[in-house]
Amino acid sequence: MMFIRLWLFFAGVLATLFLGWAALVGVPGMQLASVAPQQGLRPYTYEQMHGRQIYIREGCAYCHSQQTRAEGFGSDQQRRWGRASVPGDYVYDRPHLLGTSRTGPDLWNIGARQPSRSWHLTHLYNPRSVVRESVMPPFPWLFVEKTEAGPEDVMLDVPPAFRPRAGVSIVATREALDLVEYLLGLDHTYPVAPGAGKP
Amino acid sequence: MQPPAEEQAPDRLASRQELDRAAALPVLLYFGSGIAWLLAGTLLGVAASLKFDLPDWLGTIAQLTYGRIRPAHLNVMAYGWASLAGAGCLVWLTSRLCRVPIRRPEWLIASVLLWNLGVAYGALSILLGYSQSVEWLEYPLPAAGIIAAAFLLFASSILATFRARKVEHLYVSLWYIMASVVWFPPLYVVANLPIYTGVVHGAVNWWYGHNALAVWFTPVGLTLAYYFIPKVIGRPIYSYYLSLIGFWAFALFYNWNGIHHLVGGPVPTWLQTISIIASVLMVIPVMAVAVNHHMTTIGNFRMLRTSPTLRFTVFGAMSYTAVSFQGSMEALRTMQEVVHFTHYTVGHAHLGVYAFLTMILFGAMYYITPRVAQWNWTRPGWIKAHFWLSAGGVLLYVAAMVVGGFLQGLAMNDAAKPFVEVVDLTRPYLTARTVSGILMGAGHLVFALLFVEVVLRRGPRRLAPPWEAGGAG
Amino acid sequence: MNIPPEVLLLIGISVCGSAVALAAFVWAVNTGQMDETESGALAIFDEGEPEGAQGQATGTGRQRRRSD
Repeated sequence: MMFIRLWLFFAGVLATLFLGWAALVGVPGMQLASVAPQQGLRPYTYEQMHGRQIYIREGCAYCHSQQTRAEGFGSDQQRRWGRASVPGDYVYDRPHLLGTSRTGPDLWNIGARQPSRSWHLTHLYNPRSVVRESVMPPFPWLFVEKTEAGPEDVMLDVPPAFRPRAGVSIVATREALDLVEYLLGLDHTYPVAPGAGKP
Repeated sequence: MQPPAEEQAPDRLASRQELDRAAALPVLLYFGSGIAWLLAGTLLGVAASLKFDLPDWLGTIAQLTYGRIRPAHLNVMAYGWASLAGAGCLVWLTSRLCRVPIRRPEWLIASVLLWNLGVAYGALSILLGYSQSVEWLEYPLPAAGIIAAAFLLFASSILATFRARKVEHLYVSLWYIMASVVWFPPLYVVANLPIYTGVVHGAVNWWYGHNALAVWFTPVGLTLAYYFIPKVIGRPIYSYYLSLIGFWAFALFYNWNGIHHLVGGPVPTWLQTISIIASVLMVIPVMAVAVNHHMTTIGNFRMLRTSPTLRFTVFGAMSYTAVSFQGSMEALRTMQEVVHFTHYTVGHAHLGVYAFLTMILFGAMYYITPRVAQWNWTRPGWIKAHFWLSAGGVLLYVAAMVVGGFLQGLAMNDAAKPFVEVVDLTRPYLTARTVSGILMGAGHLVFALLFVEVVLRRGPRRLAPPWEAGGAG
Repeated sequence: MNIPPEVLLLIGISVCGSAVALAAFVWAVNTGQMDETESGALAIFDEGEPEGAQGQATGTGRQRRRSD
């Protein structure tokens, strides 16, 4: 009896999908289409876009979120992870990297919280060299070893215990530098425009 | 009440054998492929889990870094194991419920080949660094396209078989099957379109993520539970009327859940609220299913000891109730404030895709395989081992992640605790998770060996196959 | 309360959809679709595998007479 009118069944079924899409995507999309980028938000530079691709490639989004929650909902504010993020902060993000896991800390304002390029480079080379209890993976393939570093090379200051062997310099590749460029660019501490909060 | 008069028993039996014979090659290809991906996915999953215990293990190999093997694991399990095994079950079930041999078996063969190609291509792409980093949609577009094509071929065969049906009364399982084959293609295509940015992309991501459960994975599990529980016990489902209500409530509410993955995030508050409400409303269809399954099984629990299909399926059906109630609670803001971003969510996910769906898939495959392969399972002791390894493994997994995740969330909300302390407290739970993965993996290995034995017609011919005269079919 | 037009649209679609669903339900009850539902539940049984017989490929306990 469910299929008394077969086309009715299929229409009904597809209607439920469409209705859900309209509610979750269509209407919010219409609402948010008019959201302008926040005033303090700068488009990503070429290097930062490259770095963002590396962030995507290495799956950083599976342990790090990029969304800060409001006061009173979680401890994001007390931990000084930055003011609550708003839609206008994300207009240049494609794909989105909101993240659903905080195995590691939120990174939406990491550029403001940790502005040291050399810290980031060393941390990426092996996180445990700067944070002993870290469970983050190491990323040695973003670096090369050189017996003699050139004048342009950015050398890392890695503790001896974490060096592969003595007598070599660990040098950052373009990928490492651009990834750090991207991370340092994650700074959304500019004030949010009035009325730009969530509808 | 007697069922409508049909042909005499011998003809009916031959007809069932004919159906199974016609379905044999595609179904066994689907099953074999699914099991292969199950093994590959388990390796990836255990490796990923081990990396929390030993973060520097294989730390110089880029292709095996956590951020790549974790999404590879998810996609291989979802689109490889669950989808292929599920598709195989649906092919067989549609044929049986429509009482007609499957139509277009050549499309199904093509579908299996393409599906495997797509899953493999996608998984390799992720490991080699071409992931899109959108959860559940990591596969690069070519791989997604191949999977979409494979699904359409599968759906076309199902619809063609349905059209050729020789029955008047359409069983509840067929509603879920027909719904899922028309629901999934538009969902998959729309979600994969490369046209979204910013927080809208986040909304699309989680509209898809939860809807993939709503329109494909959950219907697969429910359709099989609705069939095998009454079939094996020999009693009709408790209330057909309740299944009707359950189906439409399910279709209506489940589609609106998605944004409960973004509670507290930079999306409109009203949007989060309607998803939370829809998540709680899911209690209605879930109760309908739970009442139906429980009232059908009650009085027959001793059968769980002798029927592996029933054991796996009832375990799965109970897990469905559990994971759904857990989900309804988890969506509430009070819970979300604690457990969002923690391992709790991962525990919930595995209660769903493993304890519910995978266990039901095992149960179904234990029933279907001997009938299509015309060779019975050979080692009951191994089947028992499989059950206990899988059941024990997943219960340990879920307990570890739910408890550990909840504690992780509480600690994270305590700003006085440095972040590294939060990480530290999760360690024992993550180790327990690795152990549980090894248990489940052992069960999978046992299952795979059993399957190979049946397909190759090896091993002790222990019991008379049920389709011989005197058997109950 | 300031309701954005898009949300009004959504509410409108939902109300219409619910009205259609309710109408369909009322039609189903009135035309007797709901009266005879039990035969649907019996669709999985027939002479070869009747109600009451237990069908299963293999048992892991004692061998049963009619099923196994």
